[in-house]
Amino acid sequence: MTTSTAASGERLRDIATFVRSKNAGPFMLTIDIFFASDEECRHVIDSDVLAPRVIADIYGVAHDEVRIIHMAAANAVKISFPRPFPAGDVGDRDVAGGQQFAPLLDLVVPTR
Amino acid sequence: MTLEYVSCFVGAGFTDDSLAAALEKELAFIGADAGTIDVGPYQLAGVGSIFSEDLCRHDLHRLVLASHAKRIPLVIGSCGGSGSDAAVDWFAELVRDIARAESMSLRIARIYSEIDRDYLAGKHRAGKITPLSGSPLPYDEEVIARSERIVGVMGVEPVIAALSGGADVVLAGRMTDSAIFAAIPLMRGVPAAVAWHAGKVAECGSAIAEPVRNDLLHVMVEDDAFRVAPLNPATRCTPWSVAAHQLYENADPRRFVEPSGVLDATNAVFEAHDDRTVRVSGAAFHASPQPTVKLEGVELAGYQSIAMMSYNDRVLLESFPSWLTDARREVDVKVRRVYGDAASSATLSVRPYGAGDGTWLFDGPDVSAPQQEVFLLLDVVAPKQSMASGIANIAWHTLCHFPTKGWSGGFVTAAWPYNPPVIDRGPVYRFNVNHAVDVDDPLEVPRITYEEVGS
Repeated sequence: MTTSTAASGERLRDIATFVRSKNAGPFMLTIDIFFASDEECRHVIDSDVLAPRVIADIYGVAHDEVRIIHMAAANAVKISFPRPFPAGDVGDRDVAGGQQFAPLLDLVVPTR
Repeated sequence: MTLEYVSCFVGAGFTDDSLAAALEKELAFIGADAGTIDVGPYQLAGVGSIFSEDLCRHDLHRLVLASHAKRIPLVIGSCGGSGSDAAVDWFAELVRDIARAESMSLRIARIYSEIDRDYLAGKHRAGKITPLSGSPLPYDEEVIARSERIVGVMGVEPVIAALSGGADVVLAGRMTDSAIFAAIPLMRGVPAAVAWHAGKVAECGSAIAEPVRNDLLHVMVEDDAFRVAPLNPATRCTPWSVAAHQLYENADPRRFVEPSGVLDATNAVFEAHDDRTVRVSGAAFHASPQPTVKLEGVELAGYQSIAMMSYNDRVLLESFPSWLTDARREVDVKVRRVYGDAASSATLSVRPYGAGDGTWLFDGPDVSAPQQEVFLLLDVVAPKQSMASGIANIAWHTLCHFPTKGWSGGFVTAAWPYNPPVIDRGPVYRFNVNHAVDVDDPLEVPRITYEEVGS
């Protein structure tokens, strides 16, 4: 894997093993970010690069509507927040929410 | 005690070898999910299905034969994608055909989950309908009246009732995925926490394995834990793969609300039993004193027409953002010329794929100049099909020939893949409820009917 390391750290896409998004019911969107170890996952969470206000700014949702949930058994962090409108409504272009994680891929995580 | 079953998703398929391996097990039942709300409102409105009739018939044929051979129940939930009454009837017709073709005698139970509007209006007046957390949608008698279809998401109770009524095949309307698989274990005395958590893990068949496969999953429940393993030897369950799947399509992997209580998986432990079997324990189930039925409903949003085209003219692409702005303005002028003020009742979206703005659901980013190619999807929703079609026609014709400032004069023409270029997609719908209703009895909404086939 080629890595373009920013001066201050690494891109999320280079340290995560898998990133995905999907609807959680028609009204919510959820993003799962998996890591090779839970230690790495904790480092990313602790670095605040996925803090609710960061997510809220990227997606244009209220920061108190963003939930960040750590699941150690899966070496994963889950980010959930409301969709801008229900799945399949007029104007929808990602009915199952499968491609909405993309802007997170280039977030820079400070080096440990 | 131990109790074994297999699970899959109807239409997604499984191998004949996996089914043969399943038949060598001591199974209590075969369970299959057949629906999801996550892919939009169309199935509930009655427009198509997630998996087509040929795929559903293919899977149902094998599942009906297998359960009949083993003399065990076949339980299918959320029939036909949405669990609407028509979708349950559709699956019943398929099972009837299979039974006749195979000269089988079957007792089929159909469980309907559509909700009577007067019943719901009464519940609203009694203050028994409450919004689910954070729901911005209003819900009142007006919304209930204009709904195209409303289903109540069922738990285990109607499946247990249908099996007690002697059903060989249970074809249920909308129900929670977990309840499909928890019903029989709960009937046989498996503790609620194990029965519900196993059902939650089993809901997608062997999609919890790695590599991910759409195939049969073998589940063995015990008094204090359950084990899962895919029946296809090309894939295996690992503690990570099972835990990771618990994150899939839900907002919180620790808390799952069921009609009769809450499954709390906060302390769940995922351990390797062997190199392809995972043992899960540690969840809790908190029964609720107040049974609830989550509502799913849809209403008409309008009629849709679409058209598509593409450009790879690099001279045009270099000034694409301003070209698109100018072309859109021209489209709006022409639409207003034909439809006048009524134009504001329609929505036209032009989605430029390849220019950075095709896939994104949220506000921004701005449209950029595509490097090699751009694909335009034009989407119109209007109160009448003829109007949607007319506006799409204007937008298609304008965007196909709109000149770019990069060339001097002349008549440009886009590439487009289909003729006629405008495709009428018919009625489109939207979800209009995110609420739950308090019920006195979990069986007051579902309706169960039985039929004998081939006897």
